[in-house]
Amino acid sequence: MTTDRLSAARERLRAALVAGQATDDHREAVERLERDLAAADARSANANAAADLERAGIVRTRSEQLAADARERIARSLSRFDVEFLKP
Amino acid sequence: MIDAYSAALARAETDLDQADQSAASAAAHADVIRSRLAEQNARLDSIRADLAAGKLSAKEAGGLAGLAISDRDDLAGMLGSANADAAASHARAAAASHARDTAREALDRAAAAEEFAALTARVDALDSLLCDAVGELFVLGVRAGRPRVMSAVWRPSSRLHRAVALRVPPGRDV
Repeated sequence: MTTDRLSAARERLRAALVAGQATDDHREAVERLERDLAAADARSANANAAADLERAGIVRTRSEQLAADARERIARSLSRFDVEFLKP
Repeated sequence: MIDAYSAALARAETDLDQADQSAASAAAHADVIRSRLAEQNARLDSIRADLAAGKLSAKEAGGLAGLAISDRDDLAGMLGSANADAAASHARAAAASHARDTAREALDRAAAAEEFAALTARVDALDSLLCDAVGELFVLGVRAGRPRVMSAVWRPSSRLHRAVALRVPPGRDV
């Protein structure tokens, strides 16, 4: 929505330039909307980075759990064969 | 190998969770639009009924119906898009589920390979111990006056004999 408003504000600025009217207010509006858009982009990027970080943490924890479970199953299975005389 | 396949499975599970959530959300969105469309159809029926009952003039009914038909047509278009989104999300979830199953199988296979290698080492050790023991048994048997033939001293069990000579796995179904 801010993008649409920015496009409209730039169009009004261009129209004012062509018409030879004062452009101060239009320039100010364009700059304000550009700042809003940049801030929104930054917030979105931060939110995405935070979500990526959270997901990476979930994946890492789950990965460690899966590997530990697999190794525990293997150890449990092998322990049936680790009779006393096989130990060093 | 287990660490790499565990990481792949964890990623696949997370992907599936996200895909399932997206699919549920897309299906719920389509349901909402379908419900609104049903409301608009009911509204049109109501306008027609009011017109027939004389509760609305033809002009009033025409105005109301025009709005309702516009809303209905817009909603029908939205429903088409929502249904397409829901179908695409469902397909992505199915693909993610398949990828999760494949990753699970890969981890199970890697774990089985690791266990196989470890158990092979143990069986080789048992083989060596058995050979050492049978060798000593043979020497003792000869000292004890038994003929110098292996079969006079020791014979493998029928299971071991079948496994080695006939290549029949002992004991378990494979």
